[in-house]
Amino acid sequence: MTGRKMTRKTHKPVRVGELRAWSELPIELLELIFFRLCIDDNVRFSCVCKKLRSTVRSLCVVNQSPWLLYLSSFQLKNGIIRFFDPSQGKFYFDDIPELRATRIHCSKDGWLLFSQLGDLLYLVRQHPLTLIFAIGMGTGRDDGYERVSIGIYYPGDAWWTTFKYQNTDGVQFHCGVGPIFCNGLFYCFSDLDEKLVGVFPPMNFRAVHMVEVEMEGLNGATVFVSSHSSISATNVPRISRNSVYFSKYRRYGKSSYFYSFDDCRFHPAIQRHEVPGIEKAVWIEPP
Amino acid sequence: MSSTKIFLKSSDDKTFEIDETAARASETLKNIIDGGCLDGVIPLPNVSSNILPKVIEYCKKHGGDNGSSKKIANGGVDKDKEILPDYDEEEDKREKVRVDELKKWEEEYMDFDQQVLYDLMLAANYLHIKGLLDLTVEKAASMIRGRTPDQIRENFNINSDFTPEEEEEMILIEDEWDDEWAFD
Repeated sequence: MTGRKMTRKTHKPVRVGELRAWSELPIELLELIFFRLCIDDNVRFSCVCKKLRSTVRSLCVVNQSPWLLYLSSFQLKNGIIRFFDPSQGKFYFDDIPELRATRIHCSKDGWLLFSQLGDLLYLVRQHPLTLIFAIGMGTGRDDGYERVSIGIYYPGDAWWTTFKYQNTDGVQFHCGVGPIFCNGLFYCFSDLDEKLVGVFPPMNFRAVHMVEVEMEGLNGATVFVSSHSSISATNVPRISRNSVYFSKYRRYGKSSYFYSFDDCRFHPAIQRHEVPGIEKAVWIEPP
Repeated sequence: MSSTKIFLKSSDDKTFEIDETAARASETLKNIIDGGCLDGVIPLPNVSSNILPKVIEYCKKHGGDNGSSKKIANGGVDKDKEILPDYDEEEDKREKVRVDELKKWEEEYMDFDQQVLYDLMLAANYLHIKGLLDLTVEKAASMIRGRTPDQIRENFNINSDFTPEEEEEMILIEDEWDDEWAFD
């Protein structure tokens, strides 16, 4: 602090009244301004001059919009899965033949869970779209013993591989609800005894369900909700901030598509993505 | 709390007086005071005499206040020592009145042109006065929101340094952006 006075005379006095270009503001101040602007304002701000362009570009982490994944009749027949990217207004297709006759169950952290007949689960990695394995379980009586069977199918396998587990402690276990995946383990509840839970080896997957959105605002974020998943994102180009995007029309024929907290109104999409007759769609992480 | 006077010298060698408690609204001044290197006058080579009174006005209003009302009670300047340890229902009302009054004050305080804003923002940054920095940065951001690049250039005295080709490209980006956003 003792050096303070010595530097006094070396500084050029600041003259007020002289017009100075705001582009000469220190980077840290431009940064503070940047973080208070939404993405469309920042795009225009970056078009002002070269310095602002490079500053804004260096700060601008452009995020991608989540995609919407459809359950369609194509999938039921052929395992063709259709995606929609709302920021581009474009559809994409991919197929996993094993997924025919399945329904999307949920989406989380880049993983998808499909189910068939309620008790066969298909774990699918989103990017690239790959079936990792399918798992199912059931209970049967064999040689007078209660056995739990777990069937596992890997892509390329001719058929399911079945493992049978016998309850050694004599407790009757009958597969009821499940399998359910939680905290790194598959669980299966017993039909006969509500206190009994079957636990199976870890697979990296977690389930999530739609959350009710009842907020005054989202602090500039965008939330994508569907019946089976919800994803939030910020700073996505061509996607409204502080809004909730739905997976289908809220009001038939009114083409409402996302709800903005900025003006408290429903808005139509860039391009209609809802096709009549589609029952289910799930937001997934972009590739 | 004593009301020791501190003297601040602007870049153009003018001296201003401020209460120590008010000066503590600035982290930079607070560090100098606590550092014990105070020998009467604190030189502020980055703040001119046009801006310094404006800064002092803010510090007086927010002296010793770092967001906690207790600090106001202990070391507030020009404030009633009315915040007592025991709660009462009137407390919330008084707090609301205080906040409303502060908002009104800020509105009046922030009524100046963009060159003052520029200097005040720099001063708030240099003196580490977080509240003032927040206020000024928000005002600057509000002058950019919804404006075209041309309007921003005009507002902020910035010349475009793009080549005509780049300029063309910028306009295309802008138009595309506007089209994409035109939902209705």
